[in-house]
Parts: sequence; C-alpha cells; structure tokens
Amino acid sequence: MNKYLSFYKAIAIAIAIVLFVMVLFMIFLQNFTMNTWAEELPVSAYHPKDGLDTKPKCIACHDGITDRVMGKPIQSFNHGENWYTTHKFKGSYAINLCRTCHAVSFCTDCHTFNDELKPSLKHAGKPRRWFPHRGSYLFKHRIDGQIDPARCYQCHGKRNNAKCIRCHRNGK
Amino acid sequence: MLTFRLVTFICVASFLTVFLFFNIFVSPSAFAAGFMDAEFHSKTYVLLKEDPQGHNYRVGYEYMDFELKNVMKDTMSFHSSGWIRHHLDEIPEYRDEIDRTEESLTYAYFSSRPLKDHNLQFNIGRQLLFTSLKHDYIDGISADWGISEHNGIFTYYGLPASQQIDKQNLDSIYGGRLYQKIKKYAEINISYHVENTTQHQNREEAGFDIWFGPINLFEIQGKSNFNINTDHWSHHSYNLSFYPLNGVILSGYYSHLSYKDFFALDSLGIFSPDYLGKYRGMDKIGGTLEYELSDNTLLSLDYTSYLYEESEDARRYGYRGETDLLSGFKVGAAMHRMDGGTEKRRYTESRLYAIKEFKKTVLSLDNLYLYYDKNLAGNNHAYSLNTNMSYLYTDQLSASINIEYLKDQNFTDSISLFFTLEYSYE
Repeated sequence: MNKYLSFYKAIAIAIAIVLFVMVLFMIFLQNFTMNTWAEELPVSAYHPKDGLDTKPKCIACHDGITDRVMGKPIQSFNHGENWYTTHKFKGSYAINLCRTCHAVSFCTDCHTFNDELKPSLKHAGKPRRWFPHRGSYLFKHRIDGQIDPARCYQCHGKRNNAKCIRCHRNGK
Repeated sequence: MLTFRLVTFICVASFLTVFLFFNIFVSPSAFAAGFMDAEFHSKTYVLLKEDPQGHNYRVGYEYMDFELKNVMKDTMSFHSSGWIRHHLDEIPEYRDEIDRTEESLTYAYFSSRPLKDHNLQFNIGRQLLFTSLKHDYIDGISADWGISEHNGIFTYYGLPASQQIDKQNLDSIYGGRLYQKIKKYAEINISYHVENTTQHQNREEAGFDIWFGPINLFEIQGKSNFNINTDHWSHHSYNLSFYPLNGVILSGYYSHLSYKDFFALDSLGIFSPDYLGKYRGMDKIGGTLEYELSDNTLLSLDYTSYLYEESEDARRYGYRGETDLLSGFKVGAAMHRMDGGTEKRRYTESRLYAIKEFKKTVLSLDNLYLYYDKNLAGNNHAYSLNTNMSYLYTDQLSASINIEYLKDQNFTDSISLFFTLEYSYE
C-alpha cells in the first residue's frame, strides 16, 4: 500500500515540478519579450481598413505572442469563432478600441430595439458573419429557447418582442 | 416623463440644426477645412414575400445613420440612427396589429469631451448603454470619467427607450460603474443598476466583472450579477482563453443562471420564472478550439453542456471550417448537433456556403439544412437556400439582390426577394 502511495506521490511531485518549470519558462519568455520587442500598442482614432473587409485577424499584422493593446493580449481581440461569446466582455471595457473600426450603428444592427429586419436579412450577402436567426428560425427557436432562455432574453426580454407577443401571451 | 424626453430631443435637434445651419449657410468651407467630419449612410431595402396565408407583401425600409465628428478639435460629436418602414400594399385584416407605416429612432445623442486629454465624456440623448449588468437604450445622460490611467467612473440616468414590458411601465433607469486596473495584469469593475417602475416595483442589481491576464498566453474574464431584490446571485459567466501559439485559441467557459433571480420582474411573459420554473437553474460548461491552419484556412471545434437542476441535461457540439479554394473564392462548412434531454429537443444542423468575389461583384450562396429527430406530420426536414449578388458601383454606392427559399418542418415553404441600395458619404 505504502509502495503504491509513494509511487503516486512521486508522479504527483514530478507533474508539479514540470508545471512549475513551465510556468517559470512562460514568465521568463514573457518578461524577455516584453522588455526587448513588445510595446503597448496605442489606440488610434482610426484603424487602417485595407484588407479588413472580412473578419479581422489581429495577428495578420501584429505579433500574437508579444503585442498588447489596452493592456491585453492582441490575440484576444481576434474576431474568431468564440468572439460572439466573448465580445460582451471586451465591449464593456474596450469600447474605444471597437470604435476605431466600428461606427455606433454597427453595434445597433444587432443590439437594437423595436427593429423589424433581423440582422441575418440585413446582411444576407455576408454568410461568414455569425447571426443567430439564419434561415427560418421560427421552428427552431422553440428548441433553442427551452435549452437556453437567457440567450433569447438578452435581446427579446424587453426589446424587439412585438413579434413574440403575438404568440407568447400570458406566459405561454 | 414625456417632458423630460421632449427636452432631451429638443436639445439634440437644436444642436444638429445649429451646426448644419452654421456649416451650410454661414461657413460652408468649414467641412472642407477639416473643421468637422460628417458621415451619412443610407440603406434602402425592398422586401417582396408571400405569407403562409398566400398574401403578398411589398415592404420598403429606409435606414439612415448620420454622424458629425471631430467638431471643435474633437471635443464634440453627434451620432444618430433611425428607420422608417412602409407597406406598399394594403394590410390584410388578419394582420390588423401592423400599422402601414412605422418608424423608430434607434439612437440620437450629442457627445462632449470638454477636457483637453479627453478623459471625461458626456453623452446626452437616446443612447445605448453597454455595461456588464445591462445593455439597454435610455433617453438621458451618461458620463464617463477616467480619473487616472488606472481607474474611472461611469454613471447614467434616464428613461428607458423601450417600454415593452408586461403590464409595467418603467419610470427611470440609473446606475454606475467603478473600474480599476491593477497595473497591466488585471482589472476589476463594480457595477450598480436600478430600474424603477410606476407600480413601485423596482429591479436593483449589483455586480462585478474581472479581467486577469498576467502574461500574454492566457486571460480570464467574467462577471457575476447579484439581484438585490431577491437577495441572490442571478448570473455568473466566466471565460478562460489560452493562446499557446499564433493562430491557436483554446477557450473554456462556465456560466450559471438562476431563473428565479435572473428573470425576476422585468421580463416578457414567456420568460417569467412562473413559466420557466421558479426553482430551476442552469449551468453551462463548454469550450472551443480554433486553429488557423494557414492564412486562408480556419478550423474550429466547439462543445457545450447544459446542466439543469430539474430536467434532463443537453449538449451541443460541432465544427466549422473555412478555406480559400481559389483566389477570391471562399467556401465554408459547419455542422452542429443539439442533443436535448428529450427527442423533441434534438436536431442536427449543417451549413454550406460559398463566396466568389469578382472585380466589383460579389456572389454568395448559403445553404442551411436542419434535421429534427422528432417527426412532425411525417416530416423531419427543414432547409433554406439563400443567394445574393452585390454590385459596387462606386466606393459610396452599392446595390444587391437577395433571393431566399425557405422550407420549414410544418410544410410551409416561401420565397422572398430582398433588394438593397446602400449609399454612404464620408
């Protein structure tokens, strides 16, 4: 029994040492690069738009490992697959960075109230952009709404619910 | 309440009138001299479609945005956006809830940055609030003061621009947010939000949101909201992103939702805790892996588990890929499976799209196919086919035509035409 305990203890210590060395290496790498090459990038009033007709990839021009903007890793602003989930965090504390490329109306295309045209229709020619209501969403929303009602609530809880009320009366 | 709203819009309209008058009649060369920048965008849409009852619709929409920026050495700006819709045909009697013409002002606010270093900003008018506790439109005033490089305060007060709420009319919305940076490694922000109603019921919330990223390899961000009325946490949402290599992003997320506290008071009937379940809660756990195989090829995998306190769990998983086959020819594909706790909550969704760019023309094709596990009237399938052609006349003017065919599981199929004319002046 003690033999097995010692064995597992040794494995655990070995893993802990490896992790500790990795963390030290990361911190060393970070400090080394921060001190030699990387600089905090300024937030300019306008970002060059050449080549940004599709989803922007910050690392196409910037170094994703070393560069930071607004004190945050430049790579965290890549508009990738997870962006529609995480942009709510960035939007609340980095709105000035958003404004370098996006007008206010870009946000209000989706974050609107009392609008009749769904975003996927207004931008029908941009299939690469993520929109929740592509196609005929009328049937599918019954499932998505039961699985995660908070997702619907964000836009239709108080706003944009004139169409909802036609069917959803008295909480049904 | 109406008076306050009226005064706000009179102020905004006066500002706009004075500046337009000044620049058009008094000093038209000011624009050219760079005294201010004006931007105007117009999008005209015409939708032709047939409803399930066989009635044809021809509807025209006009969306307009107008901005004045860089006014008085960039200390002032004005932003506005709105739309108007008109049905070209008579509305059928069974759709009597629709007015033939409707319009809405989405936002219109005057922004001022009076201090030299621009670290104090006032917005007056209809505006979108975007804080960790709330994103909503108010007719009112907000102020953002960056006290130093590391901390600041944001406050707002106004009337809610949208009052579509079950049997309640809101009187006022106000709140604030304190933010504090800890060197370059972390941020912590505290928020407070109140909505008062005429029925003396109010929604009072507090919360905090954090960001932590001591090194470039990872960051943690998230928020927790507390419902002061019910005296419980209503929502937690946290995200961990890991950046091991250029072009690789590994993310994990966790959120917890308490229905009773999250949906309390200010909700549409369908979101009422009485309907959803007072004692229900949901944990959402998942992750995504994004990998850029090359400059033109992206692959991502995602998985999410929905864990409920009082019903069967669910999960959603799938992939998405995109690549350039030839110069200016992109194709993408995605497939996702929703595994709900019961058969009627399960479906498989697949998508295939292609975009071909010519010199001034862009063609796109987007196909969405859904297979529902639950058979309805002998049918499990639904799909849509969307084709679009855009033509760029000049940098300011473009036009597009879109044709969409939809077929739902309940055998309703429809075809719609959507024309767009887009004009911008900058």
